[in-house]
Amino acid sequence: MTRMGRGIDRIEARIKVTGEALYTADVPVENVAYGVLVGSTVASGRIRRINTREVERMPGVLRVFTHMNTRYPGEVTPETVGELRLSFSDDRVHYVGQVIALVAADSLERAEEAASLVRAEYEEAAAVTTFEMGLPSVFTPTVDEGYVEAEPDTSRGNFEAAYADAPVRFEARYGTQKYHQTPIETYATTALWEDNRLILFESTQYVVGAQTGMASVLNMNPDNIHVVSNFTGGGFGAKGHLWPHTIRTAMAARELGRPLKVQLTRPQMQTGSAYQARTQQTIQLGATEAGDIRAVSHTNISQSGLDDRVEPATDLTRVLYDFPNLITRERLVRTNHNTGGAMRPPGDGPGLFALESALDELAHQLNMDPIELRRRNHADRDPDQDKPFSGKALLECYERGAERFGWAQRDPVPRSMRDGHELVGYGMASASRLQQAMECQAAVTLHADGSAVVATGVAEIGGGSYTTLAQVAAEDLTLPYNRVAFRGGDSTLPAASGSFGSMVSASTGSAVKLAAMDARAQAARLAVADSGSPLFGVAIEDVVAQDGRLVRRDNPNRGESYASILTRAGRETLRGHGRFVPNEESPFSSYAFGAQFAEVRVDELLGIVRVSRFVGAFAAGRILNEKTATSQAKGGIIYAIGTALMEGVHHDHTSGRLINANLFDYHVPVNADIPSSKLDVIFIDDGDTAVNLLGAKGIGEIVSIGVPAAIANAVFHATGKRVRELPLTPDKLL
Amino acid sequence: MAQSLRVWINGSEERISGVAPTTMLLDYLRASGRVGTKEGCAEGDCGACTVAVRGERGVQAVNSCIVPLGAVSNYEIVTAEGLVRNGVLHPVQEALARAGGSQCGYCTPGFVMSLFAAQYSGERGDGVLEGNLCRCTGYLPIREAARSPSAPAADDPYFTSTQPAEAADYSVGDEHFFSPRSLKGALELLSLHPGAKPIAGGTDVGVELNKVGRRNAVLVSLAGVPELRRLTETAAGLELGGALTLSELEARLGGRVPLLETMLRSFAARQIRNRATLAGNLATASPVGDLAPVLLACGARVKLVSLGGERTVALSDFFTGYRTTVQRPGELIASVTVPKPDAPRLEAVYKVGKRGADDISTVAAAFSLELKADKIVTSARLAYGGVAATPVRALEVEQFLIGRPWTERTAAEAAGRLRGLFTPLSDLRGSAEYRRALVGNLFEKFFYEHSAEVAA
Ligand SMILES: Cc1cc2nc3c(=O)[nH]c(=O)nc-3n(C[C@@H](O)[C@@H](O)[C@H](O)COP(=O)(O)OP(=O)(O)OC[C@H]3O[C@@H](n4cnc5c(N)ncnc54)[C@H](O)[C@@H]3O)c2cc1C
Ligand code: FES
Ligand code: FES
Repeated sequence: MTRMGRGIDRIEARIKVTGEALYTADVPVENVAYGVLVGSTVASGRIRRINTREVERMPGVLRVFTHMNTRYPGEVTPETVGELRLSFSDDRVHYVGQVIALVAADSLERAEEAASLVRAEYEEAAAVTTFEMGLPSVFTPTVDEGYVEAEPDTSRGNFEAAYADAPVRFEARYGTQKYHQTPIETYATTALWEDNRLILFESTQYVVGAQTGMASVLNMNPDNIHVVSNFTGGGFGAKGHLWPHTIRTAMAARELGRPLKVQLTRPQMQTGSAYQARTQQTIQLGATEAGDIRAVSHTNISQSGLDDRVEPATDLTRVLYDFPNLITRERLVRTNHNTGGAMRPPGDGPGLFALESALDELAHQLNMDPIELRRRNHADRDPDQDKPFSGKALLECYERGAERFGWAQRDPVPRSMRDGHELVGYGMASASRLQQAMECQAAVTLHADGSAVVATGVAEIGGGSYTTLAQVAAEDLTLPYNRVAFRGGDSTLPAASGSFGSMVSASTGSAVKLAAMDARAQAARLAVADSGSPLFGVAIEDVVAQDGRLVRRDNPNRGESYASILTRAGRETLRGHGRFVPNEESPFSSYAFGAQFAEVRVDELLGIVRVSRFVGAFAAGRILNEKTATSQAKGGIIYAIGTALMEGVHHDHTSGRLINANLFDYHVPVNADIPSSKLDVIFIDDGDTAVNLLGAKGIGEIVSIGVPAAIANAVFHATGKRVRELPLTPDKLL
Repeated sequence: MAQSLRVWINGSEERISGVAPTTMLLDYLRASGRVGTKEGCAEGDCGACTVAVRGERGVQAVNSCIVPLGAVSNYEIVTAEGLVRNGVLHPVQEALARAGGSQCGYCTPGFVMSLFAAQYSGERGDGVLEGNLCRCTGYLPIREAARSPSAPAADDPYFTSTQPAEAADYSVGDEHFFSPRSLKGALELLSLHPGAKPIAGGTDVGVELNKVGRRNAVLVSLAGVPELRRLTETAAGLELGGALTLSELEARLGGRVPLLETMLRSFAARQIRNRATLAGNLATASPVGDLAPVLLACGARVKLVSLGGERTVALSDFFTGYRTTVQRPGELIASVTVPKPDAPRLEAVYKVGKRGADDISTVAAAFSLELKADKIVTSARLAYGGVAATPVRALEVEQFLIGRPWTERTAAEAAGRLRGLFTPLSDLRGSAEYRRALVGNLFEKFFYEHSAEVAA
C-alpha cells in the first residue's frame, strides 16, 4: 500500500480556515513598537535634509531612523539579500519608493501619522524612469559578485551561416511587462532582542536565507539569530530574499531596546520587494520547408534596477528543442528602479512567451500544425549540456494534452471558429523547468507512543509543503499519515531549502526521506540487537517496514511496531537525521516538461479576451500529493492568466512614480476571469528515478510557464491578430 | 455625546472608548488581538478583511478595513475565529478545508466570512466570491466549497443579540461620529458643524480616511436616516432613497428597473455593494461612477434637500464638471426618481472593465430607445461613463437617431458618430483611442444583441 500520491488534506487546513494560523504580523509580541516606512518621492538624487527632529517630537514617536543614524556592521550577500546596496547606506536615492526613513512609535496610528509628516528635501538628479528611456544605453552585462551569475552570450553551431541558408526565415520582437508577484499578505517583520540574540518573525520563503543573510549584514553568528515564519501568506518570489526594511527593522529594535514590528503597505510592496523585470526579446528562426529549425537566435534585453540583474529569458531556448545552430544573448538596460528578482516563473516565463509565440508564428508561416512543428524539433538529449535527460515525457504531454483538449477539432485557419458574436481560438505552448536543488537537512523523530515528528525549517508559503513532507516520512516509515506531525518554519530546526525554484519537494523532500530512513535503520538496529524482539538476530538488511511495523522480509508476520521497539529499549524518542546534497556531477540533465492548451473567446467589438478552457499536461516526476499538486497547478495556471491578460506595473514617465501600486489598479485575476471548471491538469509519470531519491520534480513554476504563449497563440488563432507584447489587453485587439 | 461605543464581537458585548471613531474596524479587531482577520490592501479591494456584521440591514459581509468603528455601533460582528463552536468547524470552514480552498491561507478567513454571510442573504453562486482575491488557488476549489449548500442553523449561535441595532453617536476628543435618526437631524448637524462630512456606506470616505489620514474628523452618518431609505412607487415613477445600499436595491427593485439591476450585478463586489449607497455613488461625481450612465439613460431626477427646503434637478444637469455637482454645502441627495416609461423601450447597459468582475469601468454605457411600430426611433437616451470629465449623454447622436429607422445602417452610422463625439483620456484601463472605439462599438453591440428583439 502506498501512502503517496493520494489526495490528502492539508495538515494545516483547519487552522487556516479558523483564522488561528499565525502569519508574521499576527504573532503577539509584548511591548511591541510599530514602525512605518517612508519612501523617497524622487527617482534619483541626494537627500539634503529630512525633518526627523520635528517628527521625533510628535506624541508617541520613539525615533526616526534614516541614513544619518545607520551603519551596517557587516556585509551584504547576494544569495540572501534582495538588494545589494541597502537603503540607509548613504544619502543617495536611486528610485522612487526607496526607503529613506523608518518611523517608530508606540502605536501604529501614531507611527502612521508621524510617517505621513516626514518631509525630505532632495537634490534631484536626472533619472532613467522607464525601459524605453534606458534602451539607447543597452549594454552587455558582465558576470559579477551580484546578480549577474551567467555569461551573457552562448552559442552552438554556426547560426549566421545556417540562418543565411535557411529557406524559411522568421524574425519578431516580443515584450513582457514589469510584473509584481502581489501575494495577498504584504511583507511583515517583527524583531526582538533577548540579550544579544535576535528573534525575527519574518514573512519569508526562505527561513535559512533570512537567518544567514541577517547574520552577514549584522556581522553576527547565525546561531544567535532565530527566524520564525510559521506561515507565509504567499510569496511567488517576492519573499525569497531579505529586503532592506527587514534588516533596518532588526537594527532599530536593538537600538530602541524594544521589539519593533513593520508591515509594508500594499503600495510599498512594489518597491519593497522583488518584481519580474520587463523584457524585450528578439527571436530569429531559420527553418526548412518541412519545419526543421536549423538556426535560432534569441536576444533578451531585460530592465535592470539599482543592481544589475538579468531576467534570464534565454535559458530554455538552449535546452527545450534540438536547435543545431543557436545564439543566445542577454542584455541589460539600467533604470532608476529597485532591484528586480524572481517571480513565478522567473526567466523562463518571459522567455517561453517569446519562443513559443515565435514557434507558433513559424508554424503558421509553414502551414504546419504547431504541435507537429514542436515534435519535429524535439530534443531527445539536452543539447546544451550534451547529456541525456533523467526523464522527459514531453511527447506524451503533447499527445495526452491534445487529446484531452480536443486539439483535433481545431480548424487551423485563423478566424475560422466562432460562437455567436465571439471568435474562438485554440493555442498551445510547451513548458519546461530546470530542476534545481539545494543542500538541506531534516530530522524525523520516532516517539515511544508510535507517532513520528518531521522537523525541517521549511517555510510554508501555500504549496502544501508541511503536508507533502509529512507524507514522505509517513510513506517511508509506513505509518498512517495522521500519526506523523510536522514542524517547520523555524531556523532552529534542521536547515531546509528555500520555498522557491520549485525545489521543496525534491530537495527538502529528499532530506526528509533520508531522515526517515535513518530513523528506521536505527530502530531496526535496536530491534535486531534486543533479545526480547521478534527481530532479534535478523540481519539488518532483512528488516523492512510494513504497515507501521518493522518486519522480517521473508516473514512479515514476524516483527513489531516502532512503539514497542522504543519502549523496550527505554527510549522516549529516536531521532533520525537526513542531509541531502545535490549531485553536482550528475550524468543527467533534469527538467520537468509540459504542454499547455488554451481556448479563448474574443469579443471582437470590445477586444476582450476570455480564457474559456485550459488543459495543462505535465511530466514532473512522481507527484507526491495529487491533491495539493493539482490545486497548486491550477492556481499556477490562473496566476499566469493574470500575467497574460491584465497585469503590469506602470511608472510615470517623468517622475518615475508608481501609478498602480495597489490592488485597485494592479489587476490580478478574480473568480470571474477563470474558466468555469473547464481547467484540467494531467500529470504524466516520466519514470525519472535519477533526478533524486523521491523521483519528484517541482511543479510550482512549470505550471505557469507556457500559459501566456498558449493564450497569445489562441488569440492569434481566434482573431488573426498577433500580439507580441504582454499583457493582451483589449486595446491591443481593437 | 457618547464617549463609548457598544458592539458585540463573536457573541461578547464590548464597550469601546478612547479609540477614535474613524479607526477602522479591522484595525480595532487586530489591535485587540483578533488577528484572524487579515489586511491585504486597506482599500476594499481584496476582501482579506471580510467580516460578517449584523446591523440595521441584517447580516452582511463587509470589508472591515474601510468601515469606521463609528459606523458599527450596536452592531454584532462575527469573525472567522468566532465560527468554531465547541471545537467544531462551521460548515463553510469544513467545506473550504475539504475542497483544498486554502493554500497560503492568507485570503482564507475573508472567503470564509463571505461564504458565511451568504448563508443569511441566501445568495448562491460565484457572486459570493467576487470581492475576495486569492493568488494561490485560482478560485476553483473555493468555488467548489461555495457550492456545498448550507444554511444558518435554526438556533443560530452567532447572532444572538435581541437589541435593535440602533446606531448611536460616538466621540473621542475632537472626533465625532454622529448617527442621526432623522433627515432633519442630519441636516441640522451638517449646518452646526460646517466642516462635517456626510458618510453613507463609507466605501469612498473610508478609503479616503485610510489614505489621507483622519485627524479631527466630524462625520455625519446617513445610514440610519429612515427618510433616505425608502423605496416608493408613485405615478411618476420609482423614488429611490439616497441611502439605500446597492444590495438593498438589488433585493428590492424586483425587475422594475432592469437597466439598473443589470448594472448593479457588475458593480464592485458584494462587500462593497452591501455598504455603498445610491446617493454616495452620485455625490462623488466620479467620471467612471457606474450608476450615473444608467440613471441618465433612464432619465432620472435627483431630489436635493437642505434645511432651506428641497429642489429637484434632472440628473443630466446634476454634474457640473470633474467631480463637481450642483449640490450646495449642507445639501443632501434625498432620493433619485426613475420615471416610469410611457411605452416599452429597447434598453441595454454595458460595463467594460479590465477584468471579469470587481473593477471600475473603463467605459460604461447605457442605452434606451423608444421605437414606433415601424421601427422608427422616437426617443433616445445614450449615456456613457469613462469618456469625459463627467458621466455624459451623447446628445447629438440621440438627435441623429430620432426619426430614423432602427436598422443596421442607422446603428453603424450612429456608432461612427459616437466614436468621434468624446475626447476621453488615456489611463491604465485603456487608451483614449480604445475608449473612443468602445463608445461606438458598444452601440453596435447593442444593435446586434437587440435586433432580434425588435423583429419579434
Ligand atoms: C473596492 C471598491 C470597488 C468599487 N467599485 C466601483 C464600481 O464598480 N463602480 C462604481 O461606480 N464605483 C465603485 N466604487 C466606488 C463606490 O463604492 C462608491 O462610489 C459608492 O457608491 C459610494 O457610496 P457610499 O455610500 O459608500 O459613499 P460614502 O463613501 O459614504 O460617501 C461618498 C461621498 O458621497 C457623499 N454622500 C454620501 N451620501 C450622500 C447623500 N445622501 N447626499 C449627499 N452626499 C452624500 C459623502 O459625503 C462623500 O463625499 C468602488 C469602491 C471600492 C472601494
Ligand atoms: S484589506 Fe483588502 S479589502 Fe480590506
Ligand atoms: S490561498 Fe493564498 S491568497 Fe488565497
